[in-house]
Parts: sequence; C-alpha cells; structure tokens
Amino acid sequence: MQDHIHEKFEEREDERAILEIELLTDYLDKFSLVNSREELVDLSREIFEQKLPSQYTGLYLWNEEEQRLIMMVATGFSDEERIEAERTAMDRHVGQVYRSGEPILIDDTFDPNAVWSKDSKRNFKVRTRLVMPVKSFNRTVGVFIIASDKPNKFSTLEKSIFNVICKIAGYIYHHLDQLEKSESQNRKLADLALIATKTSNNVIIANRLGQIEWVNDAFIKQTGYSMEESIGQTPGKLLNNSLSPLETRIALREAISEGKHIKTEVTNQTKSGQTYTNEIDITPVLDDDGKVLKYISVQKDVTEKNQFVEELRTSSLKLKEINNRFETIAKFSRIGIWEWDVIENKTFWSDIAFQVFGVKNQIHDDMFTYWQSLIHPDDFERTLHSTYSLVEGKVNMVEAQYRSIDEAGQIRHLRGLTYMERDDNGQNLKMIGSVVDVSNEIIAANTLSTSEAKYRDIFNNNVAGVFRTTVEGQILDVNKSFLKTFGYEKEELRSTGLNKLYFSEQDREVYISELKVKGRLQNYFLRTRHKSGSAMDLLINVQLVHSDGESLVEGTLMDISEIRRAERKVQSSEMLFRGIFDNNLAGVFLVNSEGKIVDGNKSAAQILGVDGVFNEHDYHFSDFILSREKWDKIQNLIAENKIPASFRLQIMPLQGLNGLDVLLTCNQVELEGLGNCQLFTAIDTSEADLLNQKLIESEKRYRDLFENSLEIIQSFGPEGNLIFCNQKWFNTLGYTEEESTKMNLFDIIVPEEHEHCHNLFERVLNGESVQNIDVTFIGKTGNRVELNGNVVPMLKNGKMESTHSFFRDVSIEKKQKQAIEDQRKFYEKVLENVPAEISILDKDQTFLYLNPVSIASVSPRSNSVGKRLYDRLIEIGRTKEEVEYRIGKFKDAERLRTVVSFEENLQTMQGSQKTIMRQFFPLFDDQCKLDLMISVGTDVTELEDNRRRLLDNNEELRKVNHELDRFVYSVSHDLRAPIASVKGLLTLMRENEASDEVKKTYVDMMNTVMDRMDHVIFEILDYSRNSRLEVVAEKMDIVNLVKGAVNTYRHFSTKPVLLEVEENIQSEFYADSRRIQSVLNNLISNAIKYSLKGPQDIQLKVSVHVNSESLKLIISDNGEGIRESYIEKIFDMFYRASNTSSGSGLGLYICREVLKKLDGTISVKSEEGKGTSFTVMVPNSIPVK
Amino acid sequence: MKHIILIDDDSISNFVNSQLLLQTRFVEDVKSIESAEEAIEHFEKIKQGTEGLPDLVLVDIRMPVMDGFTLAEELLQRFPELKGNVLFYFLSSSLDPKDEERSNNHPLSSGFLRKPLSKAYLEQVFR
Repeated sequence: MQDHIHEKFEEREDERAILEIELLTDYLDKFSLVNSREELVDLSREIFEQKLPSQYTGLYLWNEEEQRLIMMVATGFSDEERIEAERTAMDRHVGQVYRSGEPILIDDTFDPNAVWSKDSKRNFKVRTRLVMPVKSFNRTVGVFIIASDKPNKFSTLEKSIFNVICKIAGYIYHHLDQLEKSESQNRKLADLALIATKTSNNVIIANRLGQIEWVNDAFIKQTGYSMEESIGQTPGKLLNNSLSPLETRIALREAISEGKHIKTEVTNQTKSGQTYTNEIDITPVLDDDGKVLKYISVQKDVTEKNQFVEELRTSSLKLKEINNRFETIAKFSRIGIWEWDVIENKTFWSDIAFQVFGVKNQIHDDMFTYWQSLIHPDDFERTLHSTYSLVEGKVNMVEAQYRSIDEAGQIRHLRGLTYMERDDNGQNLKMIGSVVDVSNEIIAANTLSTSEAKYRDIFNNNVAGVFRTTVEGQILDVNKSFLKTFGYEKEELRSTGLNKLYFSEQDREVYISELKVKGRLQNYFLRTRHKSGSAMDLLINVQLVHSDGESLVEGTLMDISEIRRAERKVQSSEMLFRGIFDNNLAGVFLVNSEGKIVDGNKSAAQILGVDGVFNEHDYHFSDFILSREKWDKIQNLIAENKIPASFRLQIMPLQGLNGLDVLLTCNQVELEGLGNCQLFTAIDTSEADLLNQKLIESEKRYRDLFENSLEIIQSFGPEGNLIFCNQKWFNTLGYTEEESTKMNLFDIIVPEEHEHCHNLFERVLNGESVQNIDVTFIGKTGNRVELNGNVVPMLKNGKMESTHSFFRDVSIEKKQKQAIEDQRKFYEKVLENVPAEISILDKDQTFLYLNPVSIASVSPRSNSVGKRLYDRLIEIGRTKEEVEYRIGKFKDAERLRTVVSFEENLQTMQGSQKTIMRQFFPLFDDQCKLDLMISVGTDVTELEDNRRRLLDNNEELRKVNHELDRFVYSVSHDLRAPIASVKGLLTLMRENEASDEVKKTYVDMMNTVMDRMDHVIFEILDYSRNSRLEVVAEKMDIVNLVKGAVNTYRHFSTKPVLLEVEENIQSEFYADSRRIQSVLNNLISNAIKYSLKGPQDIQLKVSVHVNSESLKLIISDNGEGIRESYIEKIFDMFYRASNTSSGSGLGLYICREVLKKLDGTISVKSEEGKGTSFTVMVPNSIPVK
Repeated sequence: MKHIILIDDDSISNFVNSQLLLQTRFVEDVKSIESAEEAIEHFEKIKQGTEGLPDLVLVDIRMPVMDGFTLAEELLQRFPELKGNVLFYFLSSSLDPKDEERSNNHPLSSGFLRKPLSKAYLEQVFR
C-alpha cells in the first residue's frame, strides 16, 4: 500500500488530490461505524501504523486548552507511559502550532535530548520534527508530530501524505468529540430516568395521542395498575377521571389536543376503586419543528396538601400576632406604616403614619394622590421619581428623605423606606412603606452646620489675635487681628519687637515670669498699649512651646478694653451706666454691703442663671461661688481696699449643672440709695477657652497646609511688595526670610517677562483672577524656574488688599515636553528624508500621514491627509484597476494580519516607467482590530532594470552556449569522420585477404584521411588561438609571407601555380603576424584547392598595398568560384560551399574571426566558374615612437 | 534488400561503407554517390526508369553545399512515392543528439546509423 501511494503520487499532481479524497472517504466510512472510544483508538492505530512510513513517529492529539493528551497513536508509548509521552512530545513548538494553526518544522539535529521513539520498530534518533495542526471544522484541536531521522526537510510528497493523515485525525477528533458528547447525553438521560423512576411523584410518559408509554414506580404504587396494564391506555379512561369537574376534563382534553402545558387538579380512581385527588402537570415534549413528540405528566398527591393548608392557617394566625406586635412597636417607635395592594388598589395607613404626616386620620379614595399633595413642592419631583422607579421594577426598595407640609402648614422632615413585593414573574403585588419624622434630627444637623459656619467665619475674620513669639519678645508670626488690635504693621513689629506693646515694663515682667513658671496662662489679663499710646486691656491665653530646643510663646488674645472702659464709666457716670450696663456683653451686677445682689444686667443674669429681676429675689453673691477660699481672700483684699484688677472665680449658676469660669472685676462704688456697693463685672470665659483652643488647632492646620504646600504660594501687596510666601517659595528661589521682606514682585520675575507680568498684575489689581499663566522666576543664584499657576485678587471691604498666587514648578515638565518634541522632530526628519514612500492610513483607508517622497510633487501634503486611499489615487491619475489592486492588497494585509508586499508599475508625471515595491504593514489594537496601516513604497525601477538586463545577458549567454555546443559537436564530427573511415579500412584489411596492392591503396586512403584530420586539428588550434591569445603587433613583410604560403600549398594541386604580386609599400607594416599568417594560409590554400577542373594553370594575383594607416591585400584566383547563393554563408562556421574538396568548413570562419579581432575586414567577390577575389583590410599598428 | 544507394561526400568513407555492405549476405550492389546534386540526378533517372529503384538509401548528414536533411526534404518534395517504398537511413559520425533526433523525425526516415559502420552493426539493424 505504501509503495502504491508513492507511485501514485509521483505520477501527477492532480492525482494526488484524488487520492487524498479516496483515502479520506475510505476511512471516513470506517469511522462512521465506530461506536466506542476503544474501537476508535484501535482503528486509528491501525490506520496510522499502516499509513505512516516507518521512520516517522505517530499522532499525538493534544488539547492545548485542557493541557492534556487526548489520544496518541503509533508513538510507541503505552498508555501507562502517557505522562512521559506528554513530556516528550509537547514543548513550546506545540503551543505555537496550536495557536497559529500553521505547521512548523523543527530542526533537532543539534539537540542531544531530542525525542526518541519508544516503538521498537521505530527506534531512532530524531533529527527533524514536523508539527502539524490537526483541525476539526477549522478549529485546531490537536497536533500531529512527525519525527524523522532524516536531517533534511520533508519532501512535498511526504507532506501531502501527512496532510491526509492530519485530515483523518481531524475527523477522528470530531468523532471522539461526538462520542464524548453522546456519552454524556446518555448519562444525563440515565440520570433523568433514575429521577423519574425514584421520585415519589407519579410520572406518566404518553405518546402524542395520549396513550401511556411508560409509568414510574410511584404511579404503580398509587394506582395499583401494573406497567403492562397501563401501556397503550389513555390515563383518563384508565383512572376514570369522571369524578373531576367537567371543566377540568375539557381543559385537559383541549391542552392535549393543542399540545399545551397544563396544570390542574384531577380526581381519579385507583384499580381498587379508591378515589384520590392529584395535582397534575402535563408538559408536551416538542421536536425541532414544534410538533408534539410525547407528553410527560407529573402528578402529586394533594391529599396531603390539605394538611399543609391547615398549617398555613395556623401560621397566618401566628403572623397576625406578629403583625400586632409589630404594630405596637411601630406605634411606640413613631414609625408610620402603610401598604398599597397594587392588584386590588387597596390602601392601608397606620395611625402613626397619619400622625407622622400631621394629618387627619382618614383614608381617601386615592391615597397615592393624597400623599403626593402632602409633599413639599421642592421635593415633589425627586420623591415621585424614586417612587416610580420602584413601580417600574427598576429597583426593589427606595429610601427617600423629603419634606411634607402638615395640616398646620408646618414643614416636616420625613424619611421613608418603601419596598415593592413582586411575584416570580416580576409582577408588582404590594407596595409597603414606613415613614418617620426626622425633623428634630434635621434641625439639629442644621444648627450644627450653622455653628460650624459661624466658627469658620470667626476664624476667617480672625477676631482673635494670634501670635507666636520668642520669649524675648521677638515676633515670629502674628495674624492680622493681632496687628489690628495694636495698630501696627507687621514690619514695624518685626524690627522693634513686642516690648513696646506692654503698658509698662512691670506688666511685662510679671506676665513673662508667670508664664515661665506656669508654662501656660489661661485668661490672663494683661495691660497693653495701642500704637496710638492708649492703654488696652487684653485677655490672653498663652503657652510656652518647646521647639528645636527653643522656647516659643504661642497664644491668642482679645481686646477687652471696651469692657474695662465701661466699668470705669460706671464709676463716673450714672447716666451712661445704665445703657452700657444693660447692653454690656459682660455681666455687670451690684452687691450691697450685705452681700445681696441688688441689680444686674442681662448678661449677669445669664451667667448666674437667674431671671433678670434681681431686686425681687434675695440672691446672695457668695451663694453662687464655688471657689470659696479664693473668694474669702479677695473679700479680705477688698476690705483692705486692695482690690485686684481682676480675679477669677468659679461660679455655679442657679439653673445649671456645671460651674463656670468667670473673670471678675470688682470696684467699690457708692450709690445713691444703696450706700456702699461693690460693682462686679463678670465674663464667662469657659466658652472662650474652648474657642481659643479650636482656633489654635485650626490655625495650625491651615499653617501646615500653607507651609508644606508643594506649590509656591505668595502674596503681594498692590505696590508689588511681598506680604508673605511659603517654605516652597524660599526653597525654590533661595532667598532667606529676611531678604524676602524687602522683595518686590518684579525682583523675582525674569526681565523679559516684566511687561507681560505687569499687565497681568494690573488685571489682578482690577479684581480679575488670572488662570493658568506661565511665568519664569529668577532665584537668588540666577536660577530660572518655569512656573504655571493662578493669581487671584484678595479684596477686603471692596478694596484691593493683596494678590495671592499659586504656582507650580513646570521646569521638568517643560524639559520632558521638549524631549518629546525633539524625539518627534527626529522621527519626522527621518520619515521626511527616508528615500521611500511612507504613508500611514487608518482602518477606513484614510491618510493620516504622508512623507514628502510619497507626495512626489503630485499635490501638497495637506491636500492628501484626511483623504481616502481611493480618492487620492484617482486624483493623482491612477487607473481604476491600479487603485483597486492596491485596495485589494490593503484588505489582504488586514485579513491575513501580516505584511503584504507587491509591485506596481506606474507612469511617472514625467512620463517614464517606474516600478514601486510596496508593502502594507498592518498594526492592530488591543482588540485585534486594525488600528493603523503603514504603507512603504520603494522605487525599485533600477533593480527591475538590472533584472531585465540580467535576463538579456542570460539570453545572450544561452546563445553563446548553444553556439559552443554546436562547435563541439561539429568538431567531434570532423574528428570522428576520419577515425570512422580508418576503422572501416582496418576492418576491410583484417577481414579480407586483400592483395598487397589493395592493401597499399587502403594505407594511402588512411594517410589521406589522417592528413585531413591533422588539418582539422590545425584549424581548431588556429581558431582557439585567435580567441585566446592577446594581439601582438610586430613588423611584417607581407609579400614574403604570400610567397612562402604559395610555396607551402603548391602541392595541393597537381597543376602548376603561377603567382603574380603587385606591391605598393609606402610604410613599414606592423600587425599580429601569427594571425595574418593564418589568414594568408587559408586564403591561398583555398585558392589552390578549389581550382577549376581542367588543364589550365592556377593563376594567383596578389596585390599588397601598405601605408602608415593600413594594409590592403587582394588575393584573386581563376578557380571554380562560388555560387552566388552561397556567398553569404561562406564565412559561417562549418559551412562548406564546395563539393570539390572536403575541408572542415572552418577556414573562412577563422579568417573572419581573426580580422574581427584585428579590427580589420574581409570581403569577397566571386563568379562561378571564373574565379574568386578576397579583399582584406588590416590597420597598420606601427608603434608610436 | 539487395540494391543500395550510398550518398556521402567523403569518398573514402563511401568506399569503406560500400565494401562493408557488400560483405553482408543480403546486399547485391551498392551505388556510391558523392554529392546531393548527383543524388537528385540519380533519383530523377530512377523516376524515368533508366535506373532501378533501390531497397535502401543511406545518406550522410554532413555534406557540403546541400546537407543530408536538405537532400531528404528535396527528395520527398520531388519523389513523394519514395515514402513507404524505400528504406531511408541517415548516416553520420556525429555525436550530436539533435542530428539523431532530426533523423528519426524526418518523414522519409527509417532511422539513424552512426559511423563507423560494421558488419555486425548492419546485420543487427537490417535483420
């Protein structure tokens, strides 16, 4: 069989295809009979072992996705050695073939670990492996590995055999797949059958006429009918369903006749006559065309169902109980519950629900619309929208917060949770919701946010002065409030320090020493001086902080001078007293000599937690005081009239839980009607403490942000003076803090941008924010920093106070941009200058880019970019065929996902022909869709021309070769002919008893023949010498040579030879003497050989003319002459024009060749029967002296 | 196969070959002709009945003026009745396969004989 295949294949190409089909059909027939996996593997093995030439290993069906060997055949590995086989056969090449679907050839020649077949018959060292994809329905399903001990590649013939085997393997895989599928289907059916048999439900399978085909055990058990009794019967008749209601029976019959699914309850009778009620579910089984094949009926005994109903009732009672409980809970938790039965449009609202909405407890016809009417107009749309999304089934539950308006017109904040109950088909059943009143929460939250805003406001406006100083009074940082409080500019304080702010040196000493001792002063009262010189009373919270081994003072302060002033005015002016007294924020009250509070303002009442009408009550100040000891001391001091400026006491308000820290001052006053009194002012400092603390924290926070910002932040005043800047500013520009204080905006801007920045600054000063501006700063060391950012104006009370700038260092960014730009330019330059047509097209064949070469003076580039390939080519005058050809190639490259090369012959604008080698390189995106197409065209016109020239040369060579061939054959003929004659003569001599005379004749003949042969050899030598040897010019005497030649060849004829020479020698003659000699010999011997038959003498006339230019030689004879029709041919190789003598036909050919070589000429004139005249012209090669 | 015509410009070759032919059992006479022109004249005579029709004609391929192939062509033109009635062999010492091919393909040709001829060769061919 193997040999047969080989023979067949060698015959013809198309027979191979026929054989392939034959083989395939043969085996496909066999495969169609296979019924099990084992049989399939056996058959495959048989085929492969027969078909595979013995030096090859066999088939591995490898599934790359599952990474397992599905089958192996004819490999020599046993099933137990499967893992070894997998390791041996599978390497990266397999995966490659699997993915690409293309076969590859692997050279294992140099691999010491190359695969060895395990088969004893095929035990060899692998040199080459061919890995071929096995395809089933165009999907690669396996690989076929053919290993050979031949180091060479596989022949086409072998490959086509493998092809057949691969195809068969593909079918095997398909078959195997089908087999596995049908096995699993059978298993599934078996499972189903098992379920049907074992289920406690009663199952009937009936044919399309309703006749029973099969019943399960449960049916037999329930009805008492056996399988045999049931088959062929209709269930209705067998089980006597006449007890079922008429409509049920009609419905059943209709469903069966129409092939519909039905679910109902039927009452049947068992064989023994017992009735039972079953829930029956009949499902038709349809074929592909929708026709009924079978009915499957599943029946459930619902006798038990009644029990279930009972249980349901019980549980629903339980449910009710639970509901009640829930109701109760809802009531107390103030959760309103409502329910809307979508199907029956019934609505229920719990009592609480009405209360939550603040409306009358009354169900309306359309509660939904009623509910809508309660919603606050601003929230209406939003709330309704979320409810509709629930109705439309988009969501199952919505949570909404909205406002409603109650009957009293009050707004209520409600939060609702609504849930939609749906059936299995997604049909809305019931909407259930809860609703609670969250007004209180909302209000609390609002309050909170209000107060938050307030605090923010306080901070923003920096009511409190915040300061950070050294212990020595050097200012580190103070806020604006601080400055405002004192009326100084920051700069003034920076240079002079803080000491001048104290009211007196003594005040300062006390304050500092106390601070040093305690580390922290709370609500310290300090007397200070305004810039104007006026005294101020400050309330200070301050602490000592240790940072970097240095002690700093941090604190906040508040001006309470007003309060103090008020106190003082109280002393002096009764009139003023009342007004200030009442309106003063500090609490002010009078205590008489008995310690009773006789009067006080509202603030005092607040602090003490009493109503404002002091004189109606009997309040004793000492009753409010918690810090009794301190109070006693102070009272003593007061008695001694050594009243301290202020003192702090803890006071317990009458209505209140917590004590208050109150700052008090006390003054002795004498008032009319009241006698000696003590006037107290009281400030509750508890809140202030807290506030201060918060302020410090947030200040810190903001400061951190400011200082650590990666942006350069700076603020300039309207005159361009630097107000402040952050650390980044210092780091970037390199100025010290001290230097910075004297800097002007334009000091840090590079000079070339001054004008531009000046304009910008003007705009900002006019209240405009400028965004995204580029500016270059110059640092202390002259370093340039490129920045980008925004500048905003800061207004205060409608007046321009300062500008704030936020800049980002973009130097590096710019450098990177520049680098990218440079790179782009580089590539562009390369593209623009590369001597090839390069263009880029998108997937729609639209030009994105064309380099100058590809424009080739056709049209401006911009005109082509954006154009479609087709349009552009037509526009530049390509024919429709050319355009379609190129578009076809474009599509090929896209489809084949690879480079496509092709040649185009084009007419240039100048009219010449051009050959372009064009290549399309497709680029694909992540989704493997065509992204870009790069087209590269190279002008290969010159190459193509060279190729043509080469072809021409080849043709010439072939001609020369042919001539050479002819020459060799002719020469061999001319040499063999004499030999043949000699051999013949020798035979004659040997075989016949010839007389001596005859023998002598034979020897003479041989001699003649050998002479001729000798002559031929001479001529060949002449010929070869002429073609081979260099031309050497030497001095020659032509006349002598002529005479010599005539003497040499005289004996050719028996007749006398008469020579007549006419000479005209004007110059010495130089030429290649050997060659000239050869020409003379040929011409003269011819003249003698071909003389006329007859008695007359041979007459030769030779004319020799030599001048400095040339030799002209004419040799004329009176011989037989040449027939006119042959004259053309006489110089041809091997041409013989005469029957007279048997020359070789080379003589004149050699003459012509020699004269060609000497740049001379030869011509002939002849008349048949009269004579011939040859004229030879040879240039005189006199050496130049 | 009694009467034979031998056409060859080489007289010695002609002599040798006619001797060889005469030594074979089946040849009675050999007419040697040394040029194509003479051969045509001879066939003209055969046509006129003054010469007898040969059984076998041997023609040398390489002859001056008119070579063997041209002669065969000429004979076929002038005496088409030769075809089928006379054995016509080309004769040459040429080793050029083209000569042999041309000889075998000529309509008048019965085959190609390579020189030198020998009795054994001739007997083998004409048996």
